[in-house]
Order: sequence, then structure tokens, then C-alpha cells
Amino acid sequence: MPVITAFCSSGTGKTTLLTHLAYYAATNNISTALIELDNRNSLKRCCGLPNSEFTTSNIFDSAFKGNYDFLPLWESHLKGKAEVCQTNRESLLETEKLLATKPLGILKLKKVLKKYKLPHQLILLDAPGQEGVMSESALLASDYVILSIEATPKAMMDAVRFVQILFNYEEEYDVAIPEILGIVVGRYNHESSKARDIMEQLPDIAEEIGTILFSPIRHSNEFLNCYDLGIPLHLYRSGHNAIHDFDIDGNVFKDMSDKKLRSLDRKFYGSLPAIAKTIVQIVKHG
Amino acid sequence: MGRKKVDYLESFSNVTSLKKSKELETARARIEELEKIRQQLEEQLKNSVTESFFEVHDVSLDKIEVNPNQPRKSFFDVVEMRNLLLTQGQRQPIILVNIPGHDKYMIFDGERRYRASIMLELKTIKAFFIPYNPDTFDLDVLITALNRKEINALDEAESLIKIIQRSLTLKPLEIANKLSAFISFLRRQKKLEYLSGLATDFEKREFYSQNIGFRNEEESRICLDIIDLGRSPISVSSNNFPLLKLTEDLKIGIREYGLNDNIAMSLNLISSNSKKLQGKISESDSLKIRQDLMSEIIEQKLSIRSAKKLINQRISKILGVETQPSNQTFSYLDRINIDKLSDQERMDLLSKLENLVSILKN
Repeated sequence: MPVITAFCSSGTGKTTLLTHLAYYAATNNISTALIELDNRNSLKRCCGLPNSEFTTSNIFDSAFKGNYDFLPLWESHLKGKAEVCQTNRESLLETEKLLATKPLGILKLKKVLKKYKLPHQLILLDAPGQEGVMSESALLASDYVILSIEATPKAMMDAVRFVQILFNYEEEYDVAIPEILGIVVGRYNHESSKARDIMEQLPDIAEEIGTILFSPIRHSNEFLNCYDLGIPLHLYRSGHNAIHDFDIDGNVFKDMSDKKLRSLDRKFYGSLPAIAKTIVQIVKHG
Repeated sequence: MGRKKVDYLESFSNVTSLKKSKELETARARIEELEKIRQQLEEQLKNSVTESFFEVHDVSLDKIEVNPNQPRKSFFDVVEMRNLLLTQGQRQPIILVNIPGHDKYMIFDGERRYRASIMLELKTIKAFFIPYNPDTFDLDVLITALNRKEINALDEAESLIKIIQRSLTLKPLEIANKLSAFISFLRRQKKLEYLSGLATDFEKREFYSQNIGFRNEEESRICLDIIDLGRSPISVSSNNFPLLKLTEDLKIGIREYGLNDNIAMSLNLISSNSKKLQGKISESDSLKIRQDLMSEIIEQKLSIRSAKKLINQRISKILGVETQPSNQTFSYLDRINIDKLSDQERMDLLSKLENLVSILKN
């Protein structure tokens, strides 16, 4: 039961990434739980969820005894293989305040997930981009973290900051930190020279922080459209090539001409591992 | 004009450098750990060779060390072994142990074959290994040597003393005297058979040891140690321990030249300390006489009987007495068929002989 969280600054496509990972995992017969830790409750919108009694705050409640009550995700398609636990803005804000006053409050989620094990094979934690109790809770409760970035200078500096925070945890508090599963670039726009510069440097950066670079997820307006409709791209435009950015290695670069690829090495970038495929392999084969 | 490229890698490197120095430290510690494990494995591997019992290995001679506590001190017959090795080859593997912390394998059994191989300038020797037990090693070596009967009576005496000294802080001659005194005591008490019973009848051991009447812990310790090594205290007292009193030159004679124990005991009478010759000869003179006689006996390979005759003649010469050739041969003693004697007859014979012995001694 690997627990995975995506991390970095907001607006890098974390929620899109995690909901699509959940969809892909579920269609690959992996029971998946998606837990929202962001008080903005963006899951409600992008997953088209009804209101629910049980929200993330209940998990943090001292009365909680493992009676999880999640909502099925895209039930008509996933047949209950994926479930979500959404947040309620007000109650989660309360929870955050409470946790912040408690020493080791950020370890509460880790403890609860360990004590009351979820039956799912894969657990995805959708944490907020900025630093705070919930993102730290998510980090400490996870086995793996995906470094989800955007190929922009601002997002890159946020990523540096994030890696620093992560290593500091280990260094200063001697707590177990999750393994960085890999770097994935979301909303990748190959037309942007800045983005290409960054893409060029990322293999070295990944090596520097001891991880790998995943195949990027392209920028596409269709992601915004389907977000709005509360469904994954698979259900909105099943023939869209962006779907396979999740499951085919180096998909973004596959059909680019050498001229378009510019300085990027076709062989290397064309074989960058696809993130969803990799995670399914981890769950199935360890 | 080219675009300005931002080096993001450098920013990441600054963050990771701290972690890396820590990792380096951990890696170093890990390497040390692994090195320790490697050494342990090597040791185990070395040991696992020794565990493969009965598997004969060709072991390089310079990987072998002799046992400094080897009870057998005579190796005058190495030449014979060399000849045997030359004509027959090595028929029997030697036995080695692998002592932890030692660079070389120590010989448990087979020092003579090892020495002969060195003499022949061989490179390897056939050997097999047995496990090393520090608590019993010396004893095991001794028992093996005793059982092979390749150890001379003098070395045997000294080894027995060494074993007894593990539990008693007595000098060798004190031990010999205590044993001999105890045996005399048993003889007077007519209980000598209890001691032979103790040595031979393992099942009734309890009975004998309770009824024999040890007068102190030392007597029981000495007797039981000797018995535990498969020897008879009576035989040790009369055959082995007296050799402890030999002069050094005679001990060398036994060890280096294979001088017979009996002859050595007779030669020991030619001494400034002996009862007979006290005050009649100086130690340097007696040493010279002993050595002359010893070389004559060894060179001419004299029998015990002729050697003793020669020695007695020499003693008489020193004393200025001519020995009278006797006609008595006591051959009738040979005709006594001990097997056919009743217990009572045996006891009678024993007491008569004891009387004779005490008269002779005086």
C-alpha cells in the first residue's frame, strides 16, 4: 500500500495529475484512494463530487476509529475501484489550526493511516502547494513523493525550496522522509524556450537529487475543459493524445521532428518513463 | 545575441551538498561495516574449510605451524619417517586445526611426518582438519599421542604431570612422591587392587573411589587424572614418574637417541647423588662415565640385559668391588603359571615377592 503525494507550488497541475493517476490505476484494476488535504476543496469540482458527510477532517478527529466513508470516484466507469475523501473548507481550516497547536501534530495523519489501514492498494494524497500543516502531514505520511513542477523559473525555485525542506526534515528532525519517486513536469509547453531550457537541465537535476525524470504532461486546454466538467480527459476526449502522456514513455516527444526537438536528445527524451505506468508497476510488483 | 540560460542545477546542488556530505559520512561508516562483515565471512570461509572433515587437502608446508605444547619431544626417528615418505609416499594425512587469530594451521597430529616432509623439501603435505576447541586441545593432543603409543615414557610422564598441574600446584617430583607414597599406603592396607579396579572397571568406579580411602584431595586428583587419561596409576608410578628423576643428559639420551628407559634408570645410578656412589665420585666424572656408557650402549645397540650388566660392572669398578659371576638364573620363576594360581596363591606369591623386593632394595 504505497502512499504517494505530489508536491510543489500550486498551479503546477498536481490535482490533475493525481486524479488522472487515480483513473489510470483504477482502470488497471488497482483499488485506489484519493485523499484531499487542500482546504480549497478543488476535488469537488474536478471530480464532480456531491456534498458528503465524511470529509478529511473526520480522519484527524480524535473520535475517529477507522470508520472511513469515502465517495466512489467516477463510479459508472471505475465501478468503485477508486474512492475519494474530499475536504470541507471550514472544518479543515479548524483541523489545521488544531494540529498547528499540537506538538508533532503533523505526524497525526501518518499515525492514523498506519493504525487504521485503508484497504486500497494505492493511496494518493492531494496536498496544498504552499507550506503548511497539511502539506507537511502529507509528506510525512507518504512513502513516495512526486516532485510535480512546471517548467517555469518560478516553479523551479519553488522546487529547490521544496527539496531543501525535505532534506531538512531528515537532517534536523531525524524523521523518515518519503523517497522522491521522480520529477514530473506538468503543463509542459515545448514551444516555450524557457520550458525547453529547463527540460534540458532536468536530467542532471534529477540525478543531483537522486531521482529520475518522468515523461512530462503537456499543456492542453482540454485539461482545463474536463476539469471544469468534473471528469478525467479519458472520459472527455478519449482520443486525445495527451491521455498517453501518463502511460506511454516519452509520449510528448514521440511525434516531434528533429527540428522541433531542437537540442533535446530524441533517444533519451523519447524514452522517459511514463508516470502512471511506473506507479502501476510499483503497486503491482513493488 | 543568445538567450540567457539560467543554471538551475547549481541551485539544486547547493541544497544537496549538505545531504551529500552526510551521505558520504554514512557511506564511509557503511564501508567500514562491510569490511568487518567481509572479514567475518573470510574467517567463516577459513573455518568452513576446517569443517570439511575427512576431506583431505594439500596444505602448503609454510601454512603450518608446530604445536609448542606437543607432548612428544623426541623426533630422533624423523629420518626413518623421511625414508618411509621417500619409498612409500605419504600414506596417512596429518591432522590440523585452524586456531582463530593464527596465520597458520597448527598440527594436532603428525609432527613427525611434517618434519620429514620439510627434510625432503616438499612443498605441501596431505592433511585434514578437525574443529579447534581451546578448552580441550592440549588434552586431546596428549590423548591422541598416548593412544598411538608413539610417545616415550619420559614425555608421557611430563605430560601427565602437566595435566595434573592444571588442578594442583605441586612440583613434578612432589606429585611423583605423593603417588608413590599413596601406592605404598594402599599396599600396606592390602587395598592395591582397589586402585587397579578403579583404573580398569569403569562401571564400579563409584564403589572403588569411595572405598579406596584417599587420604586427601591431592591423592585422589593425581590418581583420577591419570586414570582419566587411560593409564594405570601403578604403572605410571613405577614406569613413568621415576624417569622424572633422571639427569638431564639421560633425558636427552631418551629423547634424541632413543635410549631405553630401563637402561636410562640404570645409568642414573652412576651419579654423585645416588645412594650407592655418594661421596665416591664427582658429578663431572659421573657425567663423563654416563656419556661413555650411553654412546657404547646406543652404538652397539646393546640389549637391556647386556647394557645393565655393563653398567653394573662399571659401578662395581667405581666401588672397587669385583662382581661375582652368579650361577643362579632364577629360571624357575618363568615356570610359574600365574593363570592357574588361585586368588590365595596369588596373594601369597605377591607378598613373598614384595618381601624379596624390599630386601633387594636394602
